[in-house]
Amino acid sequence: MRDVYVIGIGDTKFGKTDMNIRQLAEEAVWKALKDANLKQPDLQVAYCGYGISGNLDCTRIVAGQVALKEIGIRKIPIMRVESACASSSAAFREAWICVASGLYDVALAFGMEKMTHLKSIDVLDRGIGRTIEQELETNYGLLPFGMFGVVVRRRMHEYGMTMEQVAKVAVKNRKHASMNPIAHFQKEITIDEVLNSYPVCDPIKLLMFCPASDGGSATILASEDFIKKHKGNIPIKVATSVLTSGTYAYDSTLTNFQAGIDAAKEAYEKSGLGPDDIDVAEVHDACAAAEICHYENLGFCAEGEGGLLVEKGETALGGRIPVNTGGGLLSRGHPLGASGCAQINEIVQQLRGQAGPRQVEGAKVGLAQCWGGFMQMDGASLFINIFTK
Amino acid sequence: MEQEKNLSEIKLENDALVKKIGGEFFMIGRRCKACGSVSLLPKAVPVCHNCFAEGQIEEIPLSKRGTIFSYTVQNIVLPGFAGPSPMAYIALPEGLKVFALLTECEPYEEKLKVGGEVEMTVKKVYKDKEGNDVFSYMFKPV
Repeated sequence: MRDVYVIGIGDTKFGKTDMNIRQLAEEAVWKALKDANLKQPDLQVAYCGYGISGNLDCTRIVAGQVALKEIGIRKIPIMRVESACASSSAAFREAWICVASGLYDVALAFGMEKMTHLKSIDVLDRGIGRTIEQELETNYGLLPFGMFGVVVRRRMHEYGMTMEQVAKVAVKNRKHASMNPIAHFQKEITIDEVLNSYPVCDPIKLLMFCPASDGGSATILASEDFIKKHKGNIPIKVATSVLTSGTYAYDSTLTNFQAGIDAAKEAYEKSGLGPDDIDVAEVHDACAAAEICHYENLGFCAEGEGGLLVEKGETALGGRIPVNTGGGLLSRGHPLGASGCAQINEIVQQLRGQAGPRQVEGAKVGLAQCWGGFMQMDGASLFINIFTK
Repeated sequence: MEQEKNLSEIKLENDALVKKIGGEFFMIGRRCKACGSVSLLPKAVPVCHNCFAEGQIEEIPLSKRGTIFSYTVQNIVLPGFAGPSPMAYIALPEGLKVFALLTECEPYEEKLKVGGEVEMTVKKVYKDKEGNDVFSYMFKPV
């Protein structure tokens, strides 16, 4: 396998927009081409990721080809991949395999989602509610909210995690988002505002959940041979790209997710790096409480101590290991298919030293973790990408 | 009472997961005779998800009593479901945890607690898009 580098990134503004799903992809891909100093014919292969937009009447088939044709990206292999919230993490990993294997030198990964054009209940019924196991869970009333609800209850029971700690994740990520021009929500919030927001799913409040957003993100990868001959933005090396699926063992602890633990172990083994090497991380905080689980999965602290980590400010900008400096899914927003590449793009900005007011000083190693789908108390897809300067 | 109705009178969400044995409803599991692991969904092929043994799957009635492993109350529900709805993962003696709605239990009642004992019953779970009541297992505190 060859070394692979990220050479271009592009994101739309996340939030509510009048752009359709094709245009969201176009803008993100165009920005990534500019960032990489490439022209359309330089791209040799493309992977497109979206989760639920097909269910929401935005697109039906060959969405990748549809998204790229008007900006002149044609006559190359274009594939759509799907992994719920992690769909563009899946696109990124396929693109990485393409370049690492030696088959291609330049690959595009992108993702997009259109979610704000329908009523919330329809987005839930047709889209978000379908990202978890149907036959044993959704058909009996479970939604992703409830899935996080049972995890939070179990963690409160087992570890004494508090709702103030969970609220603090939301406040921290919103503060980070206030410095991120693409973020859906940029106005800072307080712990009281979070704790007093609508009780979506006891004991979790509205501001502890990510919003439904529109958005697109794109990432361009290239081989070492290519970057030697090419002048563009600062290349960032992919140290490893790992994907696993869940255990679905019917006997989960419900305090954490086995796929998250397994993926972290594999990512560290394959990269030769460990949790102490990570300077900055993006993790899948669809619910603020999940971020606390991920601290533990990723080895930033011991199992059960994630709540204390955020309480002590260690995962805020300026802390020991800043997490979700881009605002996370909670505040950057969560256009499902775009979030995977958006996380990667945030890490790339951090390692390039181009994150502006959000910059983690001296960041050399960054990690992006994305989780797609939930079944029988475990993640359906768990992606971890580690990057080095 | 729903429990007294005949199976033929009610629409079940999945009639492979709930069956009437000796006049009483039971949840049905799939047990592997080779390794003992129990799963729920009926399979198209008789293979164990845990040890890969073939032809060793048997249907067994699951214990009706279990304990609340964790619970929550969803204030937002899908169309056709009643809300706010207390729901839980129930730990059964067979070693598996099952997601189910809770019944005969208000959202903030004392009996809604981790470790609380519950018993399986069959109740209406939701109303489908054609307006039919759809029944399945639920658990009630005891």
